[in-house]
Amino acid sequence: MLTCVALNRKHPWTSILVFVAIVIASSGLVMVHLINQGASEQWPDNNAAWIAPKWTVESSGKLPLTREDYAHLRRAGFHELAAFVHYTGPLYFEHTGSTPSGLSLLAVDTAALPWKPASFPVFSPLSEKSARIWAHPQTARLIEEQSLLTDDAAPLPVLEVSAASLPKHMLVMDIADFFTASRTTEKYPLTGLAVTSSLPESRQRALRNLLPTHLQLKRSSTIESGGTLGDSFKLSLWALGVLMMVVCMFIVVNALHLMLRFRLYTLLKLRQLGIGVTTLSTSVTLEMLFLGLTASSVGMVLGILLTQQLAPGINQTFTNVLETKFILLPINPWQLMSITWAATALVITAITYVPIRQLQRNLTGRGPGRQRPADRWLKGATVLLCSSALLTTILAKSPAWALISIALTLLAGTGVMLLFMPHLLKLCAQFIPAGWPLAHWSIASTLQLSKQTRLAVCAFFIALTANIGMTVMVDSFRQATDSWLQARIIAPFYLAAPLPVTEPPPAGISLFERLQASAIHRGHSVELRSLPADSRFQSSVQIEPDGGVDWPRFDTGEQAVINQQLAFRFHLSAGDSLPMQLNDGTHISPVIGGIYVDYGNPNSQVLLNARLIESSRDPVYRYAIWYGTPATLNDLTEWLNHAAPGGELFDSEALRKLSMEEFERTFVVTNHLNIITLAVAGLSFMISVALLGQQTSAQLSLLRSLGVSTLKLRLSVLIQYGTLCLFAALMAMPFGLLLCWLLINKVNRYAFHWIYPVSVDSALLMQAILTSIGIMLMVLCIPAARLNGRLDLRNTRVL
Amino acid sequence: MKNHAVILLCLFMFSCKPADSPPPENSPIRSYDYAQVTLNRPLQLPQDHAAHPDYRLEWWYLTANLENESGQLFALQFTLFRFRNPTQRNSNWSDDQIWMAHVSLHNRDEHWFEQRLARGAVGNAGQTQNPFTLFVDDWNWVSDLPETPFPATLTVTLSDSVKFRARLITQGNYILHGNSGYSEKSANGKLRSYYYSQPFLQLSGQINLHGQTHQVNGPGWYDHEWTSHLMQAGANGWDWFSLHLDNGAKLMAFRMRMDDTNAHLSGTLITPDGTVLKLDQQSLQLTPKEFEQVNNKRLPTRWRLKVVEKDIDVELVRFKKNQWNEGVYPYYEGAISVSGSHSGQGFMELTGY
Repeated sequence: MLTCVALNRKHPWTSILVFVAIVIASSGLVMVHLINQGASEQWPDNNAAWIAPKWTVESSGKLPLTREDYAHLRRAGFHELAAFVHYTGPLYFEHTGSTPSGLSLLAVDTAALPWKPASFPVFSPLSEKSARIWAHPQTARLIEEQSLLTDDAAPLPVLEVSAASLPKHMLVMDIADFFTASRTTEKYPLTGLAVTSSLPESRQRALRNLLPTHLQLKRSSTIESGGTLGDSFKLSLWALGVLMMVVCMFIVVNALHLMLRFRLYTLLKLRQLGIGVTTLSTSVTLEMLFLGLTASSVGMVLGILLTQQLAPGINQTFTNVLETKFILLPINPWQLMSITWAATALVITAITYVPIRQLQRNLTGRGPGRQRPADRWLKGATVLLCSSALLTTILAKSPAWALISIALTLLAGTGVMLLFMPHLLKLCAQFIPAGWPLAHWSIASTLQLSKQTRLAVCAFFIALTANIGMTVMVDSFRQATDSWLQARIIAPFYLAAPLPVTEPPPAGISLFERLQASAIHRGHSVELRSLPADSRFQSSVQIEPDGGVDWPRFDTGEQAVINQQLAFRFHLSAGDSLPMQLNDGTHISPVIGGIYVDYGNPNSQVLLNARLIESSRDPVYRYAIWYGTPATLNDLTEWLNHAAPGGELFDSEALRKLSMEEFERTFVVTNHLNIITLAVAGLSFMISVALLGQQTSAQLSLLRSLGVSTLKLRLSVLIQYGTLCLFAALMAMPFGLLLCWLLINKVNRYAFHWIYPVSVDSALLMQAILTSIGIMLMVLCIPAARLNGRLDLRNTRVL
Repeated sequence: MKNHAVILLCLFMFSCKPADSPPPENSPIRSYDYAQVTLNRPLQLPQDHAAHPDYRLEWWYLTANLENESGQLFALQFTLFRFRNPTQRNSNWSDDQIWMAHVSLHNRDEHWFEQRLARGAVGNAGQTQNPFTLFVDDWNWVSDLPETPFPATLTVTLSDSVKFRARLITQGNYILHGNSGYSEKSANGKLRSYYYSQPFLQLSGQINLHGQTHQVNGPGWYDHEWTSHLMQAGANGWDWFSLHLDNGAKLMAFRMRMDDTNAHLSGTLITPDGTVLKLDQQSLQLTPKEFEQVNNKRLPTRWRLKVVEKDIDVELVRFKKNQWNEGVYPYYEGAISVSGSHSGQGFMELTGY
């Protein structure tokens, strides 16, 4: 063991590489953990448990769920139950009588919610100002300080708190404050009891056995998840954190290979002196574990310090982008350290297995001929990974499985790249004219280099694949959003009026009212929007597949179109009927004529003819306005002054611009993390080639003695690195596009219930690849510049 | 005097002014009258075992130093707090009472703590008189008799792996602190409460940890206290001790830390035959000797306590490190050992640090 440690003096860079990689990996993971934890705590993230519970106890229909039922179940030990009322009736502004459209109200027993340090006093019955309502910031702006009434004209508390994680269409309040004035449990029976924590099988059975006949335990569908920007942010942050860890894992494996390569000579001598193979390999493993645990401790401290330093910046981002705050919670270093150590020990034990086995073979004299079994192993593993990736991609029906399929695809891509890279290089060598000996040497050397830096190239390949995937995904989202905005916002102006506009517009101005209402479909809240019988509006709806809607039937109210979110949630398709209960209690059941894209909207939505919702419309007055000869903009504003006093006129262009600006801000953080991952991979590559460069010094001396200038040699070496990067980039391209498809059609599909087409902008793709290669080459200039032609026999051994 | 952290924080939470000041004009608790602690309304048992919903705060508090057959020590705390929330008196769902229960169990190596909150009148938390019960969800204190807390059975389940069930038997009289239960907490008497204890309490029962059952028994200390005025500006927190001395005597001591004056000291010494001696600033000395970093706070966890006229000079040392209850209102509550002129065991509560 001591000898192993002493060997570090000879080749300290390999150990330093391992150390640095583990420090980066562990600090990255600690940062991601702390940021997400702070974000989770600040966004009342027990949302997951009570806004979107997996289980609820609800009435089976015969008798209502009562407060006594609730108390009985809690007293029986089911303290994870929290009573709630989901009010989906109309809400009115007290002073104007108008209705904020599509809002529902969730009143929950906050006393029963799981308590978290940062969530207090926001969600606590002990709070001094207990009578208050929470809402998404956008909803909060809509309501401002106006008092709301329920359908029995009883007032609700004034909205005071905004929380970005709440769904935009939902107000949340305490159940004790809801049941005031004329609102009683008889008038508004409890909707259900939300299960606020995990409910293992045994607890499910016990609860079912305890439930009286009029109650049932069921998978929840009544309250829904917002699918908010915050969720999207956290998901991408975790994905990048894991990606960084995978990249670092490859760096560690790579460094371990290098370390063993440099030590093999000494280890063979020790073996000849009679020290057992097991003793030697155990020593190396223990050394790696020691190095790993030390580095992960340093990484943890670094991660904590960096997060603390970055906290103001993160908070700024959260404030600007997510309209909430980030709070760095008290850190428990012992808990963090135990998690980091356990993860490091596990990963190191796992990834040292193959190199140690290889070392054992070398030490027992079974070194020659090992290349073929290794290739076979690689082929086998690649086939297995490809099959697994394909299978999980086909079968993935949840965000978790979608992420697993992405991980498998990345690993499968790595295997494919490793298998094909040498063949591609050989193929390339055939096209080099015989009169270019230096180029021949370069390509042959690249081939050799590719074999020896496999794992470093893997790290670069994964980082680049992820970079391409994320870049194309974000760009596809951007293009889809832009085209959706262009298509949907067709009128030059939109008007939000406090009262109906009854005065006919002057010549040259046309006004189209857009009615709003809400309904319930299978216990799920649905937004209803009218679509005027005008070809301009109908062609603005991007139906997929195109041409499926029978517009004459739509205009008679027989058909409606639904957004992807609703279609995906309930597995609906064109031709299905869509039974819904409107606010006024009436039932409608139009046939689905088509499914339209509705990017960024977490809610389910239906577009239908106005006549279907006239009776239950919300008192919200929105109009699309066109004007033209003989009317001018002045005529329009003048007319609106008396036709719609107090209304707001929105310029379409400004709306589109605002929407796109918000879009760009959302991905600022992930873009930066993407670049960091790439830089980490570049660093690994640089150190690998710097170490391996020593092996070519004999050849370089020979070339120099043949009259090749040092500059040419350096350029040649740089070309080798560039060729490797280029080939890795070429192979990363298809896998990056595949990754993008998976992110959109699997992760986004199951996490947020909408998809959009993959749009490949070749210029942007090339820019991403060239930037990546450029960064790598800039980094690799350092080892290339340090090359010299001196011969060093100690480095001529090949593993 | 129990759980002052809760008092401090909840009074802060209710935006309270000094106890005798009227609330400001814009206060949400305007014209909301809390019952007052006065000498004109003396504490009476058994009636006052019941809840006092007209008062702002109340708590029933049990601590116990338990031991199993092999000498392994356990420290148990069960507390039921009641708060009157002035902003919720018109709800059709619940009344204006909030119930909060804490259960804490320590052995040498582990700590289990859980908190439950519930609203009054919903049916899953409260206090009843016939029989006397205290309950929140499935945590139950059920007396064998009406109107009196003892003898009783206490049942608590913290998780599937931690269960506790014990019989609570008294072996002496209730002790009224201060002036027949009228207990002053500050030198000017503005801070005061009704406060009595049952220090002659014996617990015996089972603790089930991870499937293993421990038969335990040991002395317990029961407090019941209620008030509407326990806070004023400048009060920083309290240090509270309950001691079971091996000679059979019991001792309660507390120290209220103030901004601008010396700490206010008070206590009660109870001899084995139940004779009560009131302790004050002159007769009681309480000095921190060692500090410990707990949850990023510097807490005094080793003390010297002297009652000069009774030749009591003892050291109070924590049972284990980090006896911290991380609830809505975090505070230190843990077992202690007593050594010096007398030996014994007890509990220590540190708040406001």
